[in-house]
Amino acid sequence: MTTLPPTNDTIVAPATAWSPAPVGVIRLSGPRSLELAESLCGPLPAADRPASRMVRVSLDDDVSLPAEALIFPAPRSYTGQLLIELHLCGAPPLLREIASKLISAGARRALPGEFTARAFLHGKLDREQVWGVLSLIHADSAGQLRSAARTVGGARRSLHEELLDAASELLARVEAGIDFVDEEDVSFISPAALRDRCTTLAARAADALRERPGRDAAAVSLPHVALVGLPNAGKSTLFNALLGSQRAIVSPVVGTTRDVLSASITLNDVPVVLQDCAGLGHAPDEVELSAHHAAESAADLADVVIWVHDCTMPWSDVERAAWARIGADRCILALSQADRLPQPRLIPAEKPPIAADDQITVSARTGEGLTELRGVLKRRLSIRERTPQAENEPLVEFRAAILRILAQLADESRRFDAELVAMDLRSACEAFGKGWDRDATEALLGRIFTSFCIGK
Amino acid sequence: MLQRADVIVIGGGHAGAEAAWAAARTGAQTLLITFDAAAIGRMSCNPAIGGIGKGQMVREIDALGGLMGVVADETAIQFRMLNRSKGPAVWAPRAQSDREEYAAVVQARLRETPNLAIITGSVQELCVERPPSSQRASRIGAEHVITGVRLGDGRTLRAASVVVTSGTFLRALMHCGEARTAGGRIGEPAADGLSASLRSLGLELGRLKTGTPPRLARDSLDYSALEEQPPDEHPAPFSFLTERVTRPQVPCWITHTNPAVHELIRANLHRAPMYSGAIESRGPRYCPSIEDKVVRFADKERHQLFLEPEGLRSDRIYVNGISTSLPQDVQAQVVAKIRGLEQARVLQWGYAVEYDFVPPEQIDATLHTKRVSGLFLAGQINGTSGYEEAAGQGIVAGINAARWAAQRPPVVIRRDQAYIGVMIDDLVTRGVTEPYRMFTSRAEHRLHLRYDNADERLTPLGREIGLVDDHRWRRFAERSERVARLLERLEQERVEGRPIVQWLRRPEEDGSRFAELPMVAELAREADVWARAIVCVKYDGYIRRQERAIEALRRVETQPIPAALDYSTIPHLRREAVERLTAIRPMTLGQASRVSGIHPTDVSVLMVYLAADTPSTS
Repeated sequence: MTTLPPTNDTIVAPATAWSPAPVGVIRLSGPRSLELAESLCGPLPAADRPASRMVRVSLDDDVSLPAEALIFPAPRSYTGQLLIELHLCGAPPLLREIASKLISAGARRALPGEFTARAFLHGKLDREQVWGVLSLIHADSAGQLRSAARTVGGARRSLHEELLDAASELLARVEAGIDFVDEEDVSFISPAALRDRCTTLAARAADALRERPGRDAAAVSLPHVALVGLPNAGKSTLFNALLGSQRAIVSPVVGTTRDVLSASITLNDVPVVLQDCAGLGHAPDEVELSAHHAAESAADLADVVIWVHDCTMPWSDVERAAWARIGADRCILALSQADRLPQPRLIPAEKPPIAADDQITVSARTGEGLTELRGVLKRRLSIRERTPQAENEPLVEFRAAILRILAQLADESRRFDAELVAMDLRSACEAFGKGWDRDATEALLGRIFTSFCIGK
Repeated sequence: MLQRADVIVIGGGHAGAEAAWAAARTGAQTLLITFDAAAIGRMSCNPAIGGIGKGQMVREIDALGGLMGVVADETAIQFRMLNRSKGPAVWAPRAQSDREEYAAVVQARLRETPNLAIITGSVQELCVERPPSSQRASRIGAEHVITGVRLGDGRTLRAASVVVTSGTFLRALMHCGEARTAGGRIGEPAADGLSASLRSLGLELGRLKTGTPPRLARDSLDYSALEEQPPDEHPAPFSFLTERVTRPQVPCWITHTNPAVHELIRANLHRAPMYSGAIESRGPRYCPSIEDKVVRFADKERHQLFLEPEGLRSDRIYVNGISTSLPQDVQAQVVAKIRGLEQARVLQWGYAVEYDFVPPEQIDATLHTKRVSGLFLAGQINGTSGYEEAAGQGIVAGINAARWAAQRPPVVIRRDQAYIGVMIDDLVTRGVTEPYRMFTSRAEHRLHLRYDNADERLTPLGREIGLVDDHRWRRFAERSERVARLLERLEQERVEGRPIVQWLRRPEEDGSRFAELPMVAELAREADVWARAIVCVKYDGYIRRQERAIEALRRVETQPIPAALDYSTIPHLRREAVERLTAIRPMTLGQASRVSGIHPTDVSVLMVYLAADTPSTS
C-alpha cells in the first residue's frame, strides 16, 4: 500500500497529556466508531446530539475499568465525522492495550495529524488553525521518534526487526512462487514449511506481548530534559539547583549510560526526567569518549535541551557547531554564572539566534532565573499532547496477520492459496509502521533475485 | 504523401505499432516512421507473448481495444495458462508465437488501419518551437512545443504530437565477446541522430543494457535427449474477441546446462564484455546472462533451458535461458556441451546491446514529456523491458498523443485499474534502476487486477476513448451476461444435494469437476468466463476487502493537483518535498504520495492545502 491515507475509514489513537494526574483519552473517528467502541464497553446511545455515558471498558473476560464515553455525532464533532472519546485513567500501557484491541477489531491507527486533517477536510477548522496544528506535526513526529529511540534502543526494536525480517523472507518465497513459476523448476516454500515458520513467528510475538514493560520503560515515556554545554559551563551546578531537595537519582535509562546522570523530578507539577551530561564540543580523548557519546546521544534524544553557557565566556566556533547540531527549536539557552558578570551587565552579543523567550539568565548561587527557567520549560513541554509509545500495537497486528495465515493453512487438504497468504504477510510486514510502498517492493524483489536464480 | 499529420510515431516495434494503431483508430491522422517497414512488429528476443504479470497486461491492452492480444492469438503455436495450480486470481496466459507470422499480421493490421500511413526513413531531428502563451499555464516547465520531425533525406514532416518508441536503437552498441557493432538489432542500424536531438532539447539520457541468446537450427537438435513440454489441452486465448484457437499447437523442449558448461564459461569470463569492463550499464536482474547465473549461483549444478520453436515452418529454435555476450567461439563450445544440442548449428549468435533511455521521471502519467509539449515516449526508451510492457505504454501514448493533437483532455490509467497503470505510475514517480519488468508483486491490488476481469476494468474506458468498436462492445455485453448466467446456474444447480456454489466455497475445492457438468459446460467453455465465476464465488470476501480499500482511497488518490502549483508557497512543506514535487510535478495526490522522498506528513500538508482551494470537499 501507499502512504496515502483514506479519509472515510475509522481511525483510532490514544492520547495523554503530560500532567500530574494523567487523563487518558482514546479517540475514534469514522463511520464504524460506535460499533467498535461498543465492542469494548457495551451499548452506547446512537444520539444525534453530543452525549456522554459512564461505562466499563472490558480489558479481559473478568477485568473492566470505569470510563466516560463521549459521543459526538457527525457533523458536529471535531473531525466532522462520528467521533467517540473514551476518558479513563491515563496509564500509557493501558491506553495502548485498548487501542490495540480496537485495531484488532478493525480500526486503523491514526497517522500523526490525521484527526486534524479530517477536521479540516470536513470544514471544521479553517486553514490558519490547521497550519497551527500541522506545524506541530513534524515536531511531534520528531518527538515521537526521539521517544521511540529511547525506548527501543534495546531489545524491543531488535525483536521487531527480527520478526519483520523473517516475515519478509517468507513473503519473498511466497511471491517468488507466484511470479516466477514459469522460469525455474524449484519450489520456493512448501505449505508445511510455511506453517512451521508461521507457528514460530506467532509464538515469538505472543511471548513478547506477555512481557511487562519494566520500570525503566515507565521513565522512558516521560519527557526528557538534557543539560548540555561545554565543559565547566555550570551544568552540574544548575542540575543540582533545579533538583533542589528532590534528590531522586534514577537508574540509567535505556540508551544512556552511567555517564549521564538522570533524575526524575516534577517541574511545576510536570513529571520530567532531568539529565546532566558530560561536556560537549571539544575533541574527547580515549578516556572521555564514552561520556562524550553518551552526552551527544542524550542531547539527540531529549525533548528539550537546556544549553548551558557560561555568560562570562565568549562563544567559540566549537560551541556554535555543537549548538547547530541540536538546533534552536529544541533548545532553551541558559546563560549561567550571571552573578559573576560585572554591573551593568553586558551579555556577549555573539550568541546564536534564539527567541528572546527562550533564553534565561541564571545563577545557581543566587537562585536568580531558576523560576523563570522552570516556567519556560513548562511552556515548552506542555505545548503538545503526546501519543504514548505504541509499543505493543505492531506486535498485536503482526500476530493477528500471522494467525490468519495459520488459519488458512490449518486444513491440510486445502490448496495453498499463495496470493491470499501473500496479502496477510504484507499486512504482517506493514504492522511495523511502514506502509507497503515501492521501496518495500524493490527490497522484496532484491531478496528474491539474490536468493534464487531466476530468469531466462 | 501526407506532409502534415496529427500524430507521428517513430518506431514500429511493439510500442510503436500499438501507439500508431491507437492514435489512428481514435481519429488522428497518423504517420508511422520506421527504418524498415518489413521489421514492424518484429520480436527481437524470445518468440513469446504473455507470462505472469505480462499476460494480464496483454489482456488489458486487448480490453482497451488494442492490437497485441488479437495478433498473439492469431499467431500462437503454443498456449499455456501459468499458475493454474494456484487460484484463478493469479492465472496468467502465455503463448509461443510464430515469429515471422506475428510481424506479418501486425503489418497487415496496420496497413488496413484507416488514417494510418507508414513511411520508411530515419528521423534525425525533432523539430520544436517556443510554446505559445496559451499553453504556458497548463504545461509548466515545458520549454518547447513539438512541430514535427526532420528525416535523414532532408524531408520535414509536421505534426502536433510525436511519439518516440526507439526501443534499443538510441546510440545502440551490440557486444559479442570482443566484437562491437553499432546497431540496435542484428543487421539493423543505430539511431544516433535522434538520441542527440533528444539531448539537445534538454532531456537527460541514461544507458541500459540487455541481451539475447543464440538461435539454433531446428533440424540439428537431438529430440530423443530432450524433455517435451506439451501445450495446454484447452488453449485460453488472450483476446476477448477470440472465440476459438484453431492453429495447430506444438510442444517446446527442455534441457539443462551442466558443470562442464559452467566450467567453460568461468574459464572465459574475461572475454565476456560484462565482466571485462566493456559494458558498465545496468542489465535486468530478473533476466541474467548465463555468465551471471554461473557466477552468482556458483553452487547450482545446472540451469534449465527452454528450447522454443520460432514458428510452425521456421527453422529457428530460441534457447531460452542462455542469454550471453560471450564470443562466438565460446558460445559454440557451450552449445555443443549441452545435452541434446551436441550437433546443433547456431543460426544467430547471442549478443548484448547497450542503448540510451530517457529516465522516466521526465514524463507524466500520460507519457507526455514535461519538457517538450506534444512529445510522448513509450517502450524501452522509458527504461522498461518486454514486448507487453512496451505495448502497454504504446497504447497509452497513442491515445494521449491523439488527444493532445485534438486538444482533448488526457487519459490516465490508475494503479487500481490495470497493471498498465501500476507500471506507468511506478515509472513516473520513482524512475528505474534497471530495465523495468512487470511482476504481480508490484501491484498492491493484485486480487483485483486479474486476467479474467480485464474487460470489466477497461472496456468501458476503451469505449469512451473511441478504441472499442461496436463488435467488441457487443462481445463485452454478451460475456458479462454469460458470467451472470453461469453464476446463476452455480447457485441453482445441485450436486449431491447441495448447490454448486456451496461446494465451491470449500477451500479444498478447485471447482474443475463441475466444469464438465452438462448444465454448466456450455457456459464454462471459455476459460476466462469460468475463471471469472470461480473467482466471484471463492474469493468474494477477499476481493470485496480489496475493492473497499480501493474505494476508500479513490477520492484522495484522484484528487488533482493543479499543473501550475508552486510548491514553494505551501506553508509547512519540507524543503526536500518541495524539491522532489517540483521536479516530478505529479498530476494527482496519489501520485505525489508515491514520489520517492515524500513522507506521510507531506501528504497531509498537501491534502489540506489542496482541499482549501476546493471548498466542495465533504
